[in-house]
Amino acid sequence: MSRRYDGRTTMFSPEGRLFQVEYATASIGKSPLAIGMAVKGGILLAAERPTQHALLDKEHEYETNISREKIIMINDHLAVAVAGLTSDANTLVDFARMHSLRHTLAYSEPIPVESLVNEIADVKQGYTQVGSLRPFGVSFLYAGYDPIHGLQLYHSEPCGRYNAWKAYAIGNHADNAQNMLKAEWKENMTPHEGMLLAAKILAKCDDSHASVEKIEFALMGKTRGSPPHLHIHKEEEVKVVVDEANKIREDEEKQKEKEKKEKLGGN
Amino acid sequence: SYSFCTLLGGGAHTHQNNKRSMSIAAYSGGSLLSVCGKNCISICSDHRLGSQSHTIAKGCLKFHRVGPKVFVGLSGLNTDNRTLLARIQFRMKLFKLREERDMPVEAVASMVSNILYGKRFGGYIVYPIVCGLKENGEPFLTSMDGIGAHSFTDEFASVGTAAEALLGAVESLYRPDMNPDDLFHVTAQGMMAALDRDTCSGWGCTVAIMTEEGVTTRTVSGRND
Repeated sequence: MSRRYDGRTTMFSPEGRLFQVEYATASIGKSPLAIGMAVKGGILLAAERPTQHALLDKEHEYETNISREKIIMINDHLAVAVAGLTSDANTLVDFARMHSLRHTLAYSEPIPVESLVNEIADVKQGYTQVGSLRPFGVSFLYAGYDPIHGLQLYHSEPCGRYNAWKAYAIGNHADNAQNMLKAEWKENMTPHEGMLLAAKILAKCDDSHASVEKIEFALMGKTRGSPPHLHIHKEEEVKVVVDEANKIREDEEKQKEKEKKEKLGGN
Repeated sequence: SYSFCTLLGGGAHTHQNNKRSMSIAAYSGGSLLSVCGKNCISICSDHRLGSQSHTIAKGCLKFHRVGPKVFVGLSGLNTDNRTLLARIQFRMKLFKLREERDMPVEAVASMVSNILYGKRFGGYIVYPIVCGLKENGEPFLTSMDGIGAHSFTDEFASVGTAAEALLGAVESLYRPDMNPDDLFHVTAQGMMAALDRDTCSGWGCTVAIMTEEGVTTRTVSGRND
């Protein structure tokens, strides 16, 4: 409809829509799911990894605590989970890193989380209004800590909008995931409980069993008296959660089968 | 002649025009010494911070551990030292985020040299020492002038107002392949001897010894003048 108005990002359609922004959002809707949630003592990020190719050289994948495929450190107190075009995301991540370091250079303090989110959102907005450039096809989940508001979770969209959340999902099947979070996320879950919930949601939305190759976890943690610390989970740690999540699911399914048989047997 | 009031460390200070003009490089005072040992390295700084003849602070350390195996020592004008240190920390943090590894000491030295040369005409009045342990555990040491000319050495280097005195003192004490204990003694004694010959440095010194295991820091008391 009105395709004449979607060639240039800077133009509204007669109905008042920005088609390029909507197409960007649609692109993100095809990208693997990422979930963020507030847990006790931290913000948990969980992401579904794209399907892995057998020929990928993964020898050095777990050597650092700075990035894996979808979860990336911006600074010591800030990390993001990515949904959308990876190359677009890398550009914005580098910009975010530079911006946060420039803030520290000027003010000798770590950049407040909302300040950084606001800046990225403004950059994204600029690409919807200025210069006939296409928008960034990326949504971020930001997990961060600052002394002003403590632990915080934000998301930002290609249009430049952002919000603070207790739990949020972006990417493929984000609506389903968001509904499940609304139903099952509780205040003050432990990080382990949060990971089990995230693994359950990721598996259900992908219509498969949770597996180590498909999930990434990271916890932006803060305990009293020590600085905020990002911990990107290693394969062994992910395996523990994945195994437990799968076992719980198996038990639930067995229970359902049992109840079903009893019901039929009763009739 | 002129006079002005400046706020230094919380107090008011009226500057009087001195009869003998001091070089800007010696305005803040301070010296650094670094000595190589066997798979270890020492760096030592005095404690004085001054405003020409007026001593402002007696606990101003001039070296900084900017990485797990890297020290950067900055002598010269104090304000430029602080600014340069902030820039170095910025660049090292960015390196770590992008490269996902710690910045090796050789790279830090090269970077500091480039930053200084970037202000070739009218720049930082800073005379740095970059030292640390290389990936293979061997010590690395270089000192630079204010526009980044670095000279690598496997013995010892000194910068600051007592630089020449330090070189003389350490020349007679130094021997190659020292263990960390001997390294400490040579470094500390060399610095203490040189500090008494320099009006702009003093108030004792702090010596840090870096080995594969970690860093040990010791403070040495001296003449407080």
